[in-house]
Amino acid sequence: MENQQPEIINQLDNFFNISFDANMRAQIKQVALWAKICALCAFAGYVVTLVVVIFGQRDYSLEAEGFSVGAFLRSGNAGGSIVGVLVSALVGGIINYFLYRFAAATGRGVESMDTLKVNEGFNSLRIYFKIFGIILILSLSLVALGILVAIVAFGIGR
Amino acid sequence: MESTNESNLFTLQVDNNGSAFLKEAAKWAKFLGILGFIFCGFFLLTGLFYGSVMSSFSRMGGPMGGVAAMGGAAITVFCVACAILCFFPYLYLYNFGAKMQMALRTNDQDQLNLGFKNLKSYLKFIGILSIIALGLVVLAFIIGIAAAGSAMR
Repeated sequence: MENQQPEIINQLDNFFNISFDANMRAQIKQVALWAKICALCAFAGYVVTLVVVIFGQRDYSLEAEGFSVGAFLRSGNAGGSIVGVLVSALVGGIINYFLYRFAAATGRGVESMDTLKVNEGFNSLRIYFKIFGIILILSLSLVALGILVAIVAFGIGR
Repeated sequence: MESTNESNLFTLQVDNNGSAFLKEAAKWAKFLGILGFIFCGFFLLTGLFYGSVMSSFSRMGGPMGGVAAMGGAAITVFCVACAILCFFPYLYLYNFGAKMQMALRTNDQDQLNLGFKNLKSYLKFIGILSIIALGLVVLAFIIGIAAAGSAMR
């Protein structure tokens, strides 16, 4: 009976406090490293894509062909693809910013054994998954709406 | 009891705030994992459906029939390969979410370790794919510039 009391006290003491053992600290350092790599690759990818789209569309500029309807439409198309890439780079940049913040804060927190920094990292991870999830829901809704509109238009057209 | 208290004083711990953040992250990760599985299944079905449609065109015979059969097979193989490739990161993401939720619910250190292990696997997979994709894009860009340069001469 007396031996059981310290065990109960230990359980209550540890109730909200799972500790970061050495194994978990090593795992979290690896997680932070790979998260940083993913975020940096994503940022580099957006810059490269933007460069490719901007310089790849120059052939269709009004200056190259002179004014013609075809050149005008192609330059509009080029502008549209640049805007599209800019928008996706902006959205992706925001998502990956939070992934980078998670990597930086968690890595620093585990190194310095700072719970506040680690919590800041976990908060950024939460925001990263949340934004990712919301954008996916919006995208799927738009795709579903598009399919519905296409089916209705096809039905009316018949 | 004293040694347990001592280890709690000097070790990093998951406190209430951290637990709440991890709980919500795990919830969204699990949701993303399930959506990913649905996407992979849809992609697989699309590939198989497209392959069967193209193979029905190939039965018409003639040269176009052969081209349709080859095109259908190529698209099926591509879609199946993409579905299998996309399946694994979503599996890791789902496992991270599920194990993290279990760990926080039952205060289980092992499940927490497994959760972070799966998160590491997910990020490692995405990271390696990103590096390969970025390398291919840069290589294609360099080849394009070189080709444009030699064409101008």
